[in-house]
Amino acid sequence: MAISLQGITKIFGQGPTALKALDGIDLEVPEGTIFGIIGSSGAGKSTLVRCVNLLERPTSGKVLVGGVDFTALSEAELRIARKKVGMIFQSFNLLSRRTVFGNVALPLELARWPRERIAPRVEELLDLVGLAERRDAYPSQLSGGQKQRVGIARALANDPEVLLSDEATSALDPGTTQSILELLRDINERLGLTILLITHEMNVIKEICHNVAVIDKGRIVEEGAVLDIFTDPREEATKSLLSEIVGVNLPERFGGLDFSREPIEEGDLVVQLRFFGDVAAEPVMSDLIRRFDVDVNILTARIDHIRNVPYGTLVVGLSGEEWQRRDALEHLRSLDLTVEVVGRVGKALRTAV
Amino acid sequence: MSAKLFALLCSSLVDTLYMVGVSSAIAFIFGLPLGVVLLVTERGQIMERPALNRFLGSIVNAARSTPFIILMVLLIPVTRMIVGTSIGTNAAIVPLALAATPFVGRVVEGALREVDGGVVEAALAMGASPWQVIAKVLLPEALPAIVVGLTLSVINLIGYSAMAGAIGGGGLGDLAIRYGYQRFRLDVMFMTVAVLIALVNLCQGVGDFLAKSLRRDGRN
Repeated sequence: MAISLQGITKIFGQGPTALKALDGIDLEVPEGTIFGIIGSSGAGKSTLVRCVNLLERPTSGKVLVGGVDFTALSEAELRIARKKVGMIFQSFNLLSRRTVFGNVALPLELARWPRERIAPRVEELLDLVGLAERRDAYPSQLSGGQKQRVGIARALANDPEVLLSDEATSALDPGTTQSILELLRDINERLGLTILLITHEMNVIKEICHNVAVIDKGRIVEEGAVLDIFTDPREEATKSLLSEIVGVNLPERFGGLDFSREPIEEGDLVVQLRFFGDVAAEPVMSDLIRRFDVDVNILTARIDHIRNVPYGTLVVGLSGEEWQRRDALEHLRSLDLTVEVVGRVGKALRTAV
Repeated sequence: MSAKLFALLCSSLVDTLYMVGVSSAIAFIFGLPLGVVLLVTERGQIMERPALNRFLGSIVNAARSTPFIILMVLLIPVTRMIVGTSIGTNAAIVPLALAATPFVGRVVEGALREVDGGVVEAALAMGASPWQVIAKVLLPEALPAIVVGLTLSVINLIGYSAMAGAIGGGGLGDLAIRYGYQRFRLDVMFMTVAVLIALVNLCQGVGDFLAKSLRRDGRN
């Protein structure tokens, strides 16, 4: 089922202390995709995901899930509709006094399944998330990753068509995060489930999302296919989130020399190159050196993959005669690269590094 | 200890157990739903009814702020109406149960409040009705804390029941006052107190054990 948010606004409180958590959010989540919403803390992302199943009722706006306007449903209708929207949480929210089995059985009990049908369904779900042998354990006896697997099995019990994920991996270590993300991707592919997840970790978006929306101060500031947003971020909020994984933080000093954002006389250019896709495989640097007779000094670099497409950032010092550097830059700009002159360093760099 | 004194102690203990047992049962039966209502009707809770919540809250507070001994006297007409007399163990049960019900209510409310809001939210996200949240999530999750609270209530009732002796309620308190206080039989008084201490310890022990064996959150 597709999710469509139309003009969602959420205001907490009233009068002068009122807080506008969401400010006119429009969002289309296509059926069967993994859609990520990323934002820094306080950006409103948690409120947004909770508006989808109306745990938080928006002050205004419409929530359509599979074409059904949730905001127009009665309480009883909403309860039925919610069974088709699974949800997983950062803090897992498992019942401490129920076993793994009991926790996964809960939504089925709530939906009044007959007892004899519950057991086989729970077994099936536990197999799906790889926790069959821990069925009689209590949550306190499980690791974080195992708890989230129980949470996922529980969320899938009623055969939902949408899965909401509220920072589901934020409490997990990187390795466990990876395995949970793989499970989510697997579920998305095998069950055709639409997944809407919120996170503050770019890594999560990068690993599994098809589309991403960046939320800042209660508004969606940028939205699109993950690769597009990652390789060509336009908004400050996006760039600052991206710097976490793609970006390179420029140091104050390079090899003992001061780095300056202002032009220094006789200084080398510091050029930041962002590249993605096929260009990563081309010998851009050696080509540059050979053709323009400039010296290229790699100051810092970072290369990674989004869904098997390489991308990265390279910061190089470019030295040579003024015209050589200009031609070199021009050449770089003609390639499929994002080129940005970020500053200068002193001339002695070549000998220092 | 003389056989007569022993028999007296025994029959008083039975009276106390009877008073405390029956009034506890009544207080639990009414206090448990009262506690649930006090919590779920609060603003922002799953069945919010702020007006009802304030109304119930003020009644509970009024009942709890009245000293038990005054409550007993105030309730004499009610007791007479229900039991037919205002003297004896049966008569003592009325004020005991009435005093303990709001206490149990608050205790249950407090225990339910400790249930992680995220768990309730998860149940709501699954499409649970408010009643299902109460029956499947709130009460089961709060059970260990409720047991701790009920233990506290029973122990309170043991104390109150001793006070009921002052207006002829019977039981250990009555024994202590008639023999220990009015006849200067200090030995009787000490024996009574010793039995009360043992009784309270027993209740606490049983309550703690039960609560501990019910916990599954890694604290046992």
